[in-house]
Amino acid sequence: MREFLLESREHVQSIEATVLELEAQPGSQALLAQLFRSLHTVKGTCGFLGFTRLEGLMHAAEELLGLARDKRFTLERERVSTLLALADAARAALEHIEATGMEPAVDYAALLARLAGAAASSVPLEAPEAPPVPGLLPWRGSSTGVDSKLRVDVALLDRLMNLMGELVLARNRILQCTTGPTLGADLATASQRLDVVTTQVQQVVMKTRLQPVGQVWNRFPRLVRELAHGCGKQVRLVLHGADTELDKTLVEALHDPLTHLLRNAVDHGVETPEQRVQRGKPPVGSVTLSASHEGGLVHLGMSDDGAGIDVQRVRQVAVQRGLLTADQAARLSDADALMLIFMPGFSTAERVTSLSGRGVGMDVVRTQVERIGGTVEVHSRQGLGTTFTLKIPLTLAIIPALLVTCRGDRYALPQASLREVVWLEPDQARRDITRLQDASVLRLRGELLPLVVLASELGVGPAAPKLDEGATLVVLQAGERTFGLWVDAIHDTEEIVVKPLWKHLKGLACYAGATVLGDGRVALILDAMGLGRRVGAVSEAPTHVVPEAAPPVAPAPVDTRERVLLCRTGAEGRVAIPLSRVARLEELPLTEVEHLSGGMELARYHGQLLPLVRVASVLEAKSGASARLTEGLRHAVDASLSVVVTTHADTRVGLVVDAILDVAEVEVALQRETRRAGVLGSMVVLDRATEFLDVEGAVRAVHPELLAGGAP
Amino acid sequence: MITLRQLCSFHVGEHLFGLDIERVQEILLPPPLTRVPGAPPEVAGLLNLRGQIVPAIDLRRRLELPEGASPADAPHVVLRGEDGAVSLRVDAIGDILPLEDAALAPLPDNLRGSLRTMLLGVHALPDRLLLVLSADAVVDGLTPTSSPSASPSLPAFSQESR
Repeated sequence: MREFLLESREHVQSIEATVLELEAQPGSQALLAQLFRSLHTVKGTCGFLGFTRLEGLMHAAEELLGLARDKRFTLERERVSTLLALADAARAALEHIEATGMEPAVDYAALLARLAGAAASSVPLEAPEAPPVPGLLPWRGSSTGVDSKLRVDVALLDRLMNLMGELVLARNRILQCTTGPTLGADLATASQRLDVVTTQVQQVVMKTRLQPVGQVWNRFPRLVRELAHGCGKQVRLVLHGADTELDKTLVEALHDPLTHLLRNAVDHGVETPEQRVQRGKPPVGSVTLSASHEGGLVHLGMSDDGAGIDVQRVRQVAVQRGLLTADQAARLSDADALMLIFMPGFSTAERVTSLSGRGVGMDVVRTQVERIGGTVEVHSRQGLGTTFTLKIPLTLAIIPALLVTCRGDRYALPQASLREVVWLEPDQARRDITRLQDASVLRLRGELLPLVVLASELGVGPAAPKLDEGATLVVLQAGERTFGLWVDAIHDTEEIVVKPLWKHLKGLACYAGATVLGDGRVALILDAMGLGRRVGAVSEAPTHVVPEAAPPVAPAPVDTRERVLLCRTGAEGRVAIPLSRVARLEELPLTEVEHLSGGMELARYHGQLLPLVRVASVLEAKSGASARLTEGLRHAVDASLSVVVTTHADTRVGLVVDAILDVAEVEVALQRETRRAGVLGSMVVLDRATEFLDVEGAVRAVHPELLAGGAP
Repeated sequence: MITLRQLCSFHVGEHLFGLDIERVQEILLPPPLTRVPGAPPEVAGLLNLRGQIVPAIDLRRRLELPEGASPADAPHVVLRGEDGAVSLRVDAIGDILPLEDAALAPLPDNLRGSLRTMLLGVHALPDRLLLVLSADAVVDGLTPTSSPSASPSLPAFSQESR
């Protein structure tokens, strides 16, 4: 009986697939013959087991197909719909049989009449069925029986059996070693053997779990057909790389996100045939699903040739929803703006239809993909289409990980998120790591990376470890975010078996699970995503590329939150510089600074000359006094200058401050009465009066020529 | 008809506790624990029980008994449960005691606090009082985000639950 169910399900699946193919190429004798075979087999077994109603259905379908084979008519849309309805009914019946062992007591008269009608009339049929309700497709819940079983290549099982034999031998040898007189050498070879065999067993077992992604995809042609009919569009689904293999659990976890993306593509992406013709495209839209292996990951792509995403519209909606200020939205690059569609609650309102936009948003897609350790990217060109790329790890059960220690405890870091390991000597550490009070920032090859101190993140150590011992950093990539993780030490890499955390500990975002290490101790697995989310406040602004367009010379009073860099100038003065204007923070040795006539200072910086502006001298408007002051400080600050590099159109200017203190997010509400050169106004930040630097004004005071052409 | 239960008894602080032996999977000698920074303070850590990762609860903290010096060789009582085993760190293991259901006295009214919510009743032994614990209450009442007693004692915790 089980065999009957399994086999019949596959036949029904193949009936459905073949019918859909037939719709694309009507009159193909080969496909018709295949359909016949499937129907006939099901009919035969049904008759044998006494499921007469099902048998009757199959018989009626055969009649219909017989006429089609004799070229009495072709299988056009209505007949295809009828046959698909038959497949649904058969599937429902099979499910009922599995649950109860009995044929369902449903009267198939209506369906039989439809089949007979389809066979009798040679003119196209009137549509007897209501348009299918999307999302409530009748076959949705019908996957249970098949998914709990796997088909595994017998050759693979044979290999596994052989390997198990070897494993037993290896175990015997080790057992002998423990009782025998000679321990050392024998044990060493025996455990080596065990190592080799275990690795092979692991690989083969993993292979048995791998399933072609086509398993998820085989339901999609039908879905696309129904969706497209539902919204009056013509869509062709193209599948590439359906045999790409992926762990079974991942294949299943991908079903929902892919369905959602597909629904979006058909509903929002592809235009109606009329619109397409107007835009000079073929009336039939195409949606392409592709899968391939790339560097230990599986890349799943889904692209449509539809209208693409209107980036401006995305920006507008983000502003309307209060997710961003107009200013922030305008500053975002197109690629960053596109990522906004993954934010919770984001939907471009004008496009909400019955098919999608019903609250299940792209953020769900992203969460689901991230949950299985993957990432989503989106590229879109307006008018040409949209491509989503899902990057998914091959398997989750056993992953390579880097072991790190923090305060004597070992933690495992999945290597998928690992970009590089950086070890800084004490003097390098002092040079490249900048402390902004609680936050640390690393300069790595000209890029500013926010640092997360693991010990402080876990609450077992201070926020700022001593630099005198150097620094061991692991650069991690979590989604779009790159950051450095400051650990105490780095150990080996090990393949770890991921086990979920106890339910009462699942709320801890830092951990992805736990594992047992080679020595039998438990180690926690760190979650790069979780850690990265905690660093969010620091990472976004500094790593952002400073926009090309220079902001207005006298910025309009914007009542908004803004992140600012707090610096000390002079003895007590505190100055805030908008982080959006900061390109880099540098410590430049005094030996790199050149003095020109007229008090102009330039620093050699990455092979170029960087004009310097001493903020203190601008603000105090008495360059003599401040020069003396900075003179005095020079020796105190280790013969180097703290420089905030800012960008103005295409030139860079270094603002010299005495010390960089902190980054703060403030509600900009300036008191403007204290208007003087180089200052926009002042306000209280972190309990201290702070002056907001007018970056352009300050630069102009010293180097008017620099901004002559650049600023608007 | 008299129903007899077997109770596994153990000491924590000055008290003698008992747990239905049906729920006790095994007794462990002190296993190496891996601490979980950020977890509620009642969670003593994670241990490796023959390849399974089992959370360990510090019963003294869980019951909000006064902090005291646990012996270095504190044994563990491993409970079986639907969501896998959970281990309880106790001070010392006692005897297996038979108990008639009828002999279980209700809790004294003046007993308050979280201890009360985790006890099924008390049983008067000849020389002392046996407190009968509810295994479910001990394990399930623990949630990292809503346990109010957790935040003041461990500063990192409030940070984690942001």
